[in-house]
Amino acid sequence: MIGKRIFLFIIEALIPVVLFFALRNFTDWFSDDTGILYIIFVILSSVFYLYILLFLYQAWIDYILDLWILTNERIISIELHGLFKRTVSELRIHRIQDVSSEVHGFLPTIFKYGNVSVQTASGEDRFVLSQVPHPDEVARKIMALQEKYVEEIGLPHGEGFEIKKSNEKNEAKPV
Amino acid sequence: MAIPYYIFLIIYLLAVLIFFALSVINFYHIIRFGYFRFASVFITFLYLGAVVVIILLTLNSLSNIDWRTNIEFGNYEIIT
Repeated sequence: MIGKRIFLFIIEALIPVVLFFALRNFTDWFSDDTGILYIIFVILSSVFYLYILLFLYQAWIDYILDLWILTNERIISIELHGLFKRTVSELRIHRIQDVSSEVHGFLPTIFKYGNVSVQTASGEDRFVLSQVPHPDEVARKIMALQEKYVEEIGLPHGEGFEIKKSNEKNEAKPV
Repeated sequence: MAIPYYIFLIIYLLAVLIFFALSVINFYHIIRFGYFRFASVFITFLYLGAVVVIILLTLNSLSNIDWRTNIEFGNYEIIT
């Protein structure tokens, strides 16, 4: 995601420069460096560059402040959405039914990042860890932790949700 | 009707003010949640450096402008 934004930033950053040289060489709009068209162009270009930079910085902050904590009992996801929204979600590891990783697109393939989807048995929305580095490795680690946890409590694989349903206190205990 | 050039400068300053307000919110996020590690400090200084360069280039490009010049509207002669 951040790689894609940097690539788009470079392309967008070239637009005013190309436009300036095209207008300067093929029209007489900028023949006078004190004319109103020149002023408007410089001001718009400056605002354009400042806000492109701001959005790039914002994207980087969004990326750097997204955090996933994987423990032997749960997955905690802390995500920043825009400037004023922050989400903290938590998934108990015994509820995991299926984990899949996805690397989609040219840049994710080059930079080795993608999404990891964690499916629970409850049929709720999938828990998605988006734009994580080495998603296949992360998916393997989550499955390994889930299997270890299930083995510890002595239940067949994939029946973790039954623990939650059958337990009144909603806690996984050894059977 | 005449519009002075400095109106554009005021509009630009307003855009820059909004830009700085949004930047301050981003700095708050980095300080509050971002552990202030080396990467955060480095990228933040890079960002501030780029902002200073853009503003200085803009001011340099606009240094020769006489901001009290007016744009005239409505002074058209009727062709008969």
